[in-house]
Amino acid sequence: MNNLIYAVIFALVMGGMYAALYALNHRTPVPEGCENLKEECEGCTISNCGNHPSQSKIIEGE
Amino acid sequence: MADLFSMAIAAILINNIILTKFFGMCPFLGVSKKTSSAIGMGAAVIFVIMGASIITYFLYHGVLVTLGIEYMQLITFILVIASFVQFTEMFIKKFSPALYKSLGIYLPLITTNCAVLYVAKDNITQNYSFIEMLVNSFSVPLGFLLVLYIFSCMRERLDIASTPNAWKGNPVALVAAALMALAFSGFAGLV
Repeated sequence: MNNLIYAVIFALVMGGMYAALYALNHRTPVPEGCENLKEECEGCTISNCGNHPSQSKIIEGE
Repeated sequence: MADLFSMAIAAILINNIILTKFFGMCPFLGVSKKTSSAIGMGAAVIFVIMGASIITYFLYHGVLVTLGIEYMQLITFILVIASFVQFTEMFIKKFSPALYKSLGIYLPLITTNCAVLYVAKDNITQNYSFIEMLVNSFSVPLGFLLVLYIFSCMRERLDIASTPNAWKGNPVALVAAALMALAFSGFAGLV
């Protein structure tokens, strides 16, 4: 039973850490001259990957 | 010492992560059109795999084993890798714009690179000591960088080669990758 509680607490801590770092990273301004850097991934067949070129077209179209 | 050297050679040439285990195929195909991109991506992968492996190694032995929750290793490693990538991106954005310009764009791609998770898990399942873990965590991405660089050189040459229309782009690149895998299989038995 204790193990389960430890596991849940540990998962929450790890998830919270990721969420905090994600928020901090997105709040950190991009350095000057790097605003228009584009990922040069040509794309494999995994079209639901966030880096696939088709995903950026969806965001632009919204 | 000789064992560590053999281990490094095996990880780089014989059991190359891309050509024998097919991990990291997304960047292998997606970021191999230019040699400069390939080197940038390879360098970023070396940094992330080294960092993530050290953190996961200590987290596994220090926390998961101590608490008896080893079954949490997969979700822990995924979150550590994703967090480490976010932290690294934030750090270089703030303190090294020049480095961000050359490596920053590849960092989000690494989050989806299964090679990072493979190395972190392999260090645990193979029961490596700390030194062995460091050697493995450096050699595997070095093999990744080597193959990515060679493949990008081949693709740059293929771009100016006269290939039939149906073979242009990925088809001929995949044939070249298969031939490269055959060539690397010649290293089997080296150590």
